[in-house]
Amino acid sequence: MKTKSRLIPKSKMWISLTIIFLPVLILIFLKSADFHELLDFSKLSKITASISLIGMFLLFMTQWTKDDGDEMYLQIRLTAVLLGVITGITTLLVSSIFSLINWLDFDYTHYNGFGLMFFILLMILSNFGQQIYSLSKQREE
Amino acid sequence: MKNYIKIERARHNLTQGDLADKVGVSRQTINSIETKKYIPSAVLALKIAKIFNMPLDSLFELEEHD
Repeated sequence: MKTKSRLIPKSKMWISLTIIFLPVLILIFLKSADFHELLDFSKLSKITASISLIGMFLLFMTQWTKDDGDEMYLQIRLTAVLLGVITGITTLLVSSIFSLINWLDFDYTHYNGFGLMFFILLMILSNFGQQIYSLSKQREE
Repeated sequence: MKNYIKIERARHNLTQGDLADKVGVSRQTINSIETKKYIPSAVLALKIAKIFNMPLDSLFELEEHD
């Protein structure tokens, strides 16, 4: 299976990282530069979050190590995505139950799509990164 | 699934890296197959069997729980 060619080359990882962090840095700059009257920060932060989420997805589709890309790594990616889906469903379920019983008087309405998607992608990336790290520690027998 | 890749590799005097290069995967993948952490696809299993010039069922064997 030629999965390597479907991934973004390792040398272009900077593109994904730039897409993740640059919009956030620009938003912080605009906020600190006091553009409150000219810009709607609520809408701007949603655009920033969307672009950063695209960056996180691209990072997931980037070759992390020189070996990354064969069928085993594809399966690791699949497992990470499955974990992300389970995390998302569990988060929604738990937050819905908590808001139903008003546990701890905590407001769960902030669990919007952006937050949830960020959490899912974070789980996917951290799980994948952890697996890649443990594979890189394998010694030749 | 049990496999005899490590034994065959030693018989043919190949390192994990050599075998990985021959079948077009990473050394980590060969290591994971040998340590039963990863079950290879049919294509990869056939490629490995071809390298050792062995039938597939002599190289890979199902275990009771499979």
